[in-house]
Amino acid sequence: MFNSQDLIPLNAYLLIASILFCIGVWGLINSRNAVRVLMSIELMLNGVNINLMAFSSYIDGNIIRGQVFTVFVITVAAAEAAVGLAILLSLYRNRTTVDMESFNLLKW
Amino acid sequence: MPHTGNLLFLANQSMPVPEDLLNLSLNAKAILPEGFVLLALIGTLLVDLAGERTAKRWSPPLCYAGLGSALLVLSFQWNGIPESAFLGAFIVDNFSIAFRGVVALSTLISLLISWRYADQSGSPIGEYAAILLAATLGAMLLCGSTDLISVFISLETLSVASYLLAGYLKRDAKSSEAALKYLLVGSAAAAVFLYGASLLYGISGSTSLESIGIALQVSPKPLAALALVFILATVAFKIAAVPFHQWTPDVYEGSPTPVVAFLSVGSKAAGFALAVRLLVGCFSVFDVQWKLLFTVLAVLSMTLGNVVALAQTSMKRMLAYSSIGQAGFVMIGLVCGTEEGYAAMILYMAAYLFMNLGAFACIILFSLRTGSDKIADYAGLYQKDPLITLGLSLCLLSLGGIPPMIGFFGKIYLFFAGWADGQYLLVIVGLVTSVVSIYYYISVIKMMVVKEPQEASELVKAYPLIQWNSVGMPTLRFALLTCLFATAIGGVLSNPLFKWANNAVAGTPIFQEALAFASNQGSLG
Amino acid sequence: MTISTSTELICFLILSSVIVSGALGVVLIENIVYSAFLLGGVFMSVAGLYLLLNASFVAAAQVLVYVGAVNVLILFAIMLVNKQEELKPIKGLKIRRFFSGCVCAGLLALLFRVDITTNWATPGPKAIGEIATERIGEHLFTDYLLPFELASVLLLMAMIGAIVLARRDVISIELESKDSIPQNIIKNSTDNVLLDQSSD
Repeated sequence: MFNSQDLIPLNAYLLIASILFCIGVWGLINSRNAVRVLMSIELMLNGVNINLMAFSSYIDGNIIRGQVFTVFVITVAAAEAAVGLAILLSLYRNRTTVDMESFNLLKW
Repeated sequence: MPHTGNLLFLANQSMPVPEDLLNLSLNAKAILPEGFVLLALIGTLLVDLAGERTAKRWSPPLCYAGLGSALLVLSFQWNGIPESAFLGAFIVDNFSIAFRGVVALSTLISLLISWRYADQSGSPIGEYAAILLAATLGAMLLCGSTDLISVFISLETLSVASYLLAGYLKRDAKSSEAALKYLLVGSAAAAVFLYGASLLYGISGSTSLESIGIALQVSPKPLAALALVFILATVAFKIAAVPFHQWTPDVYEGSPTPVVAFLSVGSKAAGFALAVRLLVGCFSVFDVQWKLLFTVLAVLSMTLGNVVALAQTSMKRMLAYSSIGQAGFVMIGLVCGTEEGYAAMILYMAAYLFMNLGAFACIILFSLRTGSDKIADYAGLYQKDPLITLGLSLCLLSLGGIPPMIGFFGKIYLFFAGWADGQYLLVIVGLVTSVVSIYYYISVIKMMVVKEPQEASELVKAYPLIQWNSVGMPTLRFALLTCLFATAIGGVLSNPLFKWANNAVAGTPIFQEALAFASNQGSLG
Repeated sequence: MTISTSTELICFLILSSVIVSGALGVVLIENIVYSAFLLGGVFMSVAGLYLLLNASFVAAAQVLVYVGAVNVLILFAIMLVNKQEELKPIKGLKIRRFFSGCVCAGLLALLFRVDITTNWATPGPKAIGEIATERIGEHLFTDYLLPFELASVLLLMAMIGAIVLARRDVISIELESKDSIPQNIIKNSTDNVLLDQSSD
């Protein structure tokens, strides 16, 4: 079993995680398609997961609470995606559009 | 290999030493109230399998039984020795019991006022009750969670259930739209919370709030500040503090009204419990910083919430902004960080439960009879329906803080605690915005009472005969009268309530630690 | 540098470049179907990173749940709500995108600066590698029992709620279909059934 600590620094993983998180934030703000907004949220959650997994392996190597945390995040993300798409479907039946700019029955 | 694995597992610093661990029981009786709620949830789902008619007949009693026994068990747990359960994932102290009680009671009253609404809107009742109970379960567990993972999962149970409830009127485009907005903003807030949580995990190598609090004492400032900002954003989202409030008016206006009643009290109480667990329990080292941020949030919430409420024409939207302002008042208690401050916060939350749910019961009753929630449509209601007029007037006056209603005593206690602690800015802003809020509350009452019969709105002129015998109406009346009674009499009986709130603070370890910490710093400085 | 370490480095570089470019594709490409497939690619590469971190169980969960469930769900949603619609142009969209891009870049700089200035407690205890799966199981039934049980309630509730919201109202469909079918057919069939029963 090789040990990854020697070669790749922890910060490399954290950098990837924060890039993924920020791309997710940008997508969240700018996407006009509601499905794409959901995808951006998944990107943010994946960024968080990489953070947790990296900490789990570098700092908490023998107890790995971060891995358990990640398993929970994956579970919740799946539930959230299912609920999100159900709501989207129910809205689409009423409005036949997924454009975020046209959801303005309620003022922001 | 498994043997050494176990040893390593036990040798972790945040958990007790091995021999202690062997003696530790799960202490599962700590979540007995939640167990009853869960049983009611499963029971509701089972009777729902037998068809819509059976569900209509049996879901309400099952829910009452579950929530009622949960409240009963909570009252037995009151003033017990604070003890941790589930190996450090949950704690039973008086604070958690008080807030779990508020959540369970708000669900109970929301259910009482929702049967008629669900019946008229033609939504399936069994699933509605089950989802609302799941939200309650999440909110109750959130009040006592002391571990990042349980905090996250209970927060998400509450949030996902709230998204579903917000979109429950699926034939109504407004409801679906509210649900979608709530879901997108809420999931983004959850992701931000998780990023903060992952940083906290990185600092401490642990997920227990207690060890994170210890690790934060020696942690580098920038990292802790970043985690604090991320976590605070989520807390502010949950309690709808400005500038994280944008979702509130939309969700309140679009969602089914009984759901809004639950969101405005139960979900908000859970949000405050989360704030206390994370900020008081975990970030106690950074209390100057988070109190500063919270002061800003409180001032913004009180000002913007109460000023924008002036311009609203929809009753639900007005109450949404008013609830933003009310959250600002409650935050004063949290910022004080004194014994009186915490007690005032708990007391005001309990008072807010009755007055807000009473107001929502009146709004539901009015919209059931006329199908409108425009403020202008309430004109001249006094002649046609004295009960709604009386109820709404009492609750709104109480929300505005007029004596001798319960809201007045709650507010006085909050402002007094704030003044004693030297939070002059907060108290002055609170007083000024209270006056503003009284203005818009009174204008609704004026609309109902003062107008001559010929000035009444068309809807009020065509007001139906008052009948209480259709499905769900008696429970609605019961809930309305209970809330009214508590709002009106609670002010007179405020002394036992003060004692109760003080007890809640005295029986809560994290408050005591925070107070001891503050007095230590005071003596050092 | 041995073969194993250089392989690891190369794997890391490839995976991270796939993640970053894939994520950019997800938010930037116009065609949303391509975005969904790129998202699947990002999920797979993240699973690859987990493997590099010696977490085979979580990597498998990532592939099964994210790629197998979430991504497929998103593709289904795209097909269900797929309508060619002309988005109304909005004034100042470019400027808005540019400014939000600047804000996100600032956030990234902040996050990364905090990450590198912090002295993480590395190296921590030695990673346990292959017995991680066993350890996760131990956690789920000891100190994380409460969230584990609550997660089951969450999933149950999400399932029920998603079904309630996404299903069409059964009653209204029946009414519609009855309207569309010529009335005499139904009448005849019910009459026959009734006749059969009465003759028996």
